[in-house]
Amino acid sequence: MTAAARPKRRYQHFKLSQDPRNELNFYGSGEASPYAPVLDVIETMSPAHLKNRQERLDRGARDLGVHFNVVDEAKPREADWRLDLFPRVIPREEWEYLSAGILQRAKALNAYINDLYNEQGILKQRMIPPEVALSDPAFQRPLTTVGVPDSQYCHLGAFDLQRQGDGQWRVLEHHMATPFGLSFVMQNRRMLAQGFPEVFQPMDVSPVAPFISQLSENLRLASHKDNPHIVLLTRGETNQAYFDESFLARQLGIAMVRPADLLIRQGKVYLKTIRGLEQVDVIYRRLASSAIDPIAFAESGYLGIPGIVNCVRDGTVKFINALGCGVADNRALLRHSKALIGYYLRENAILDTVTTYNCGDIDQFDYVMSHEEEMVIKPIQDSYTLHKYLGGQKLPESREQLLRLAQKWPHLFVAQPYQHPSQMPCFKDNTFQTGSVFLRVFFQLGAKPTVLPGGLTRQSWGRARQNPLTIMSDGMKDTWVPAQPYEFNSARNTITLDPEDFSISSRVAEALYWTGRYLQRFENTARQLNILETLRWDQLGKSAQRSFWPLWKAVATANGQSDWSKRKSPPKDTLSITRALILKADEPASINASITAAYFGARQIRDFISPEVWQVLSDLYFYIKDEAKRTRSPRGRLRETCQRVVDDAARLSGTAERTMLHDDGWQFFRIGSFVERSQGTAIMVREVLNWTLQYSADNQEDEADLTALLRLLSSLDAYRREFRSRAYLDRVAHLLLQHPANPSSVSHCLRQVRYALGTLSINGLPTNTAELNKGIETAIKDVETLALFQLVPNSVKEFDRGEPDTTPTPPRPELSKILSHITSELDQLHELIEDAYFSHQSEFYSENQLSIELQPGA
Amino acid sequence: MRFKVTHTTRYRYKTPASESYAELRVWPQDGPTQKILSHTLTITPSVPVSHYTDYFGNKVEYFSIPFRHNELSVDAVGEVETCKGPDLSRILETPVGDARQILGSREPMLYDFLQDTELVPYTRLRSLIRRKHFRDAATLKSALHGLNTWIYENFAYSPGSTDIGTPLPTVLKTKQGVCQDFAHLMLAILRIHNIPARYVSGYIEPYDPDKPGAELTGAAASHAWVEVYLPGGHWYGLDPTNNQAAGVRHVRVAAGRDYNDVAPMRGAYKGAQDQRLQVIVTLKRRRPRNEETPEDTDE
Repeated sequence: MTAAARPKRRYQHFKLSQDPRNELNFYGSGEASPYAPVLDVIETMSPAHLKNRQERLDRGARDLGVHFNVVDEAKPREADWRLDLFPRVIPREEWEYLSAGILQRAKALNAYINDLYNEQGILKQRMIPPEVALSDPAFQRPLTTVGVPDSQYCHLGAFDLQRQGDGQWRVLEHHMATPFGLSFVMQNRRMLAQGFPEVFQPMDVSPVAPFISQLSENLRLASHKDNPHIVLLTRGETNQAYFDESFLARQLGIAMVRPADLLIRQGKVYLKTIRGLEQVDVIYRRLASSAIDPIAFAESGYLGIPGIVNCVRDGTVKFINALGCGVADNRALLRHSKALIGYYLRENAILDTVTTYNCGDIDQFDYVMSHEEEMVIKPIQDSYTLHKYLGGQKLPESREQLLRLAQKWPHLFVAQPYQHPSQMPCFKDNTFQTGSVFLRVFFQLGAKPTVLPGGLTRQSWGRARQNPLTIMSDGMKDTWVPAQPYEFNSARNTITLDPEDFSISSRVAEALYWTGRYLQRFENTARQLNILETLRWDQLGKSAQRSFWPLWKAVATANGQSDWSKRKSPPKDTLSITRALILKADEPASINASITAAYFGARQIRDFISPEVWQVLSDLYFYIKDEAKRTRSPRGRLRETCQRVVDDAARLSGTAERTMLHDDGWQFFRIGSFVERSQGTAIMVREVLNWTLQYSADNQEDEADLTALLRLLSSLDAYRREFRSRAYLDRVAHLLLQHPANPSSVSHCLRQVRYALGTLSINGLPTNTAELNKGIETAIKDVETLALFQLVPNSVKEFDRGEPDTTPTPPRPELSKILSHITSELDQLHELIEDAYFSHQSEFYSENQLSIELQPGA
Repeated sequence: MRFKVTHTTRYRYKTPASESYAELRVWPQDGPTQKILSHTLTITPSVPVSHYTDYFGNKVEYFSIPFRHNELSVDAVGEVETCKGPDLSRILETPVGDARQILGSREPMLYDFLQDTELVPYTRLRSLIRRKHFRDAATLKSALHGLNTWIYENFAYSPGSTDIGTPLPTVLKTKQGVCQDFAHLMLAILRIHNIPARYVSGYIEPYDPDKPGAELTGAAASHAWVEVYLPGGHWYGLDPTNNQAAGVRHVRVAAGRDYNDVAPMRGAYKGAQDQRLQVIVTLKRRRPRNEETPEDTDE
């Protein structure tokens, strides 16, 4: 830009500050300053104008729906992403120096990782104290016997740097295992370009997108296959890291998976999807090594994928970064950075390191203790890795508590003197204020080592960060490096995820299936208990109690209460069992337990559930927890609870229907609820008919109240419309088992399941569904061809002929056996679904286990 | 002395398990005190088994059972010839002070056997163990055997009183435990005194058929003891459960920093929690090879 075209600087947003730590002063205020082009733009804008730009940036963050902190259920969602409109600029020459220093250090640290897991030369030659390396919990001895191709452990890493008052850059931390925050750099660049395009006008900025393309390329190169299957392995919590991961997965065009999605079979790693098993070749991991394999790393106490380390050993899968990289992040190593670079590269270190004292060394710890006021105490690894080594405690926040832990486990802590990093103006409350800035720089090693131009600048008003997996920050800045001529316009398009290419994972399908089942289950239980409790058992006469007792027993059986279901005569009161079935958390089929299971199941797949559905479910969950805490729950209160659960269940189904995408996942949700409903109905019918058989065999007078049975199964109205008569056993049985239009009937539910399975977009793919299809066809046929008119002699016919209906012919004894067959068939249906889509057992048991033997009804 | 060792581990699941995965450390290895004559490993249901040698030099087998099964059993059968190791009596006469000096310039690798581990968190135990076991002037032999005897006399062997989750401070308080507690305790005290030592898992012949009355404790399950690193690079076995040095009636299997490094079987499976574990270990003395007669009724 020529001087003539330069806009006039009309506003004086920046009074010349004398503070030597202010970055704007590092370069003077003249035209030579790298900030001159930015200042040119900003000084032409009025405060109102700037405010508008900042608001645009804030709105952009809100629209993205990104969150820095773990989402608090109790609080409404607020965007806490804050991108400052004033970018940070690092001049080209300075950047060249910085990136040379970063790559040098990264290579040395990679060599260190390799050395530690193999020769341990650096320890044998006593270049660093052996305990620094050997007492690091991230040093996983099982990995010493697992080879890494080309000794390339770290592929993607990051360093935290800061600039001090003297203008010198110093390294503060290493992140070579699971570096976090790359997506923030991408997002910030995108958002600033959209929200404040003017500021880019006078300068060509080095693009950040090619770094992602290169990462994608590197992941592909990690496998010798032409088109390897790559996944991103996450712990999957709804926090900052999760946002980072989902953004990267989308950019890289790879699926995001959790440990439970992966399965080891014959020495290979597979992703379980509803289309079948897909072999995984490369895993971009975002979990600490110790959380990867509970067998290899038994000490860590985390779940993971049992046996996956041995797949790495056999070379069937590759991790990026390689397992074990965490040893480079050991903060006790910072002090020895210079020695490391000298030892491995025979070079002098280009970049300095922030002074770090190792508490494991008695002399250094003495120094720390005598200067503790000036020190920041840090653990040598993140709290996830250290957890087990600190007696299972979480890392505390305060310096005093950390110091106390350091006295107990000195080798797990370091201390760094308080830093006074450089400062920059940040637009806050409609004016420019000054805050400290830190820089995280990302790099890639491998065939073509690269440093991402710029990085993540965080600004801080003085708070310290505890967890390296979060970026506690009062805001971020886009970070610019002026482009080199050839670099400009070199940004290739990044790949974006095509949803058609990905099948939902078995874990997600299974969780949705179970959410559907639990939803149906607590709805059933709540409705049934509500009806039974409305009878006011304690005020019923003996004979009324006897006619309702079979229904109670049926409900108890359907809810797995075998103690009650075996009881022949009714108890005096049913309040205690009602209370248990509603509120007791450790009663497996209680409403409380089912809601809790639905809630935690759904929480695992939050990103597949609409916020509206989640809201209803979590409200219900907190409600039932509060109810369970009450010391007294009288009958009236229990009925209110049931009513609320029934209402909320209806709200949940309705909200789900209206707000969720009706895709494959949705179908599993429906399948779950129909499977549960069919089982519920079948068990109730079986129990009540068994009772009838029993009493007729014993020649007793008691008869189950069939009207109440219809109400319990929401079918009374349907019965009245269909038959307009009092409840006869054969008609009731027909309506509940075979009627195609009764939503509670077994036949209807099975047809719905068959329909839903047919809509899945997985036809012709490897999942073996033949057994399942056969199973469901058989079940439908068995239910619908059941010769009820023979098994339950038609009492109505005789009545129509003018004969009294008081002595109905008893049902045939084989009915009991047939109904048991049907219920067990439904149980098997669940297993067939599980085998075909979730656990992929059907590939092993194609014939033997799944055949169902059923004697047909007549 | 020749032994036939059988080590059977059987899991029974009430509801079928699937996706089982396990790592085994049940394969004894040749060493200065024993020679392996034969070894077989049978997994039921039958699946392919792979193996590798771990960081501590132990042989590890691993396998997976992806399909449903109600039972998983591992039968390890081996024949082992044990012998007296090299004569260490002269080294054991070294005064503790001298030994410490010699060990001071040790290999960095030994650091592994001097540090805190999850099961031997000795830095936290320092204050609980008052007795001074290692005085500079004492010989290694008297100091080590003194410690061996101290544990033997002050702690009661009571099977079932502890499990692998029982922490050492509890053992110190209740003064009872099993071989693995005593081994961990001994390791803690040795490491407090800066003497490198490791945990050894193996088997023991519980009674001597030639000498009735000389019963050793630790039968019917895997045994555990300790090995101390001596100047000159020898590992010296001490069995605090039986108040003696490890001898020809001890069969070594694996060594590590603590039990976690040598657990005979570690695995995971998918399925209901309901599992029953049964472990049977037998150790039978065999006649020397030339006199051997067929023994079919062994099992």
